[in-house]
Amino acid sequence: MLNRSLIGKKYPPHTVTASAEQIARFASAIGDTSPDFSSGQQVPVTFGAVYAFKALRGVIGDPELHADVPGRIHGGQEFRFQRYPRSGETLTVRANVEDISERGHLEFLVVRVDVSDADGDQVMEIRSTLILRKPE
Amino acid sequence: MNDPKIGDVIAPLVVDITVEQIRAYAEASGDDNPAHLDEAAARAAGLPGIIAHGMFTMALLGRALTAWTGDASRVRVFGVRFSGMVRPGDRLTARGKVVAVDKAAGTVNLELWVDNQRGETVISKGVGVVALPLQPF
Repeated sequence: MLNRSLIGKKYPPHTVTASAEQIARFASAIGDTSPDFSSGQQVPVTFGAVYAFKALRGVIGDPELHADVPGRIHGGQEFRFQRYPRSGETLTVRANVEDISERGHLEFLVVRVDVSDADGDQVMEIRSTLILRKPE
Repeated sequence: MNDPKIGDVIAPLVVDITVEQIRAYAEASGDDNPAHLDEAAARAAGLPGIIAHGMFTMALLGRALTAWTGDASRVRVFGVRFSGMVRPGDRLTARGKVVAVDKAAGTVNLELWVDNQRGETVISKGVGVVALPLQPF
């Protein structure tokens, strides 16, 4: 079972910088040939998954949370933009356990990742909902 | 998306899913979970074989959305629920339609989803909120 006492737990921030090449590689992998992306001038709308990836993995791997179990599935994903990130920009990424709930034999973990810029202004918020099966 | 109206549909995006695409997404995103890369590991985890990343399917829907907006930076909110597995060999169609236009707020709301060749929904309840052309960031 997920550890509900961790609702609200904040994890240490880290920084990420995505180069134009990294953005172009992501755009190519999703088959998007728009010059805005291949030039790295803009990021594809789900590129935030790359910004959030390490933070999300850190939360899932928290031994106190009990989320690192087989059969976990990705139930939902949301990106909310306060402004649009730029390539080469150094962003600060902060994760927290936003919610843990249960319904029937399933548990729902919502991890929120806040992405902010060098001025401390919020760039985007990213929510991942993970679904786990309750132990028998 | 000049003068969008309720009921307008975005151009459907059809993509045939291959193992190579899933590998390329794993590499570009950093998500190297074996369920997406290793047939034996995927089966051991109770899956029918390797599956595409949910985020890859969402990225395809994002492509359809930003092809419609013409500018990714108009997107304010993009959210989905993953409702089915995607496997190599599947033919996905990303779709969307306008469900609300708020001229005062300068935003358009869309319902977004992805279905496969059997008509099953693999992304449901997708939500997009995009800024009208006159209100970029």
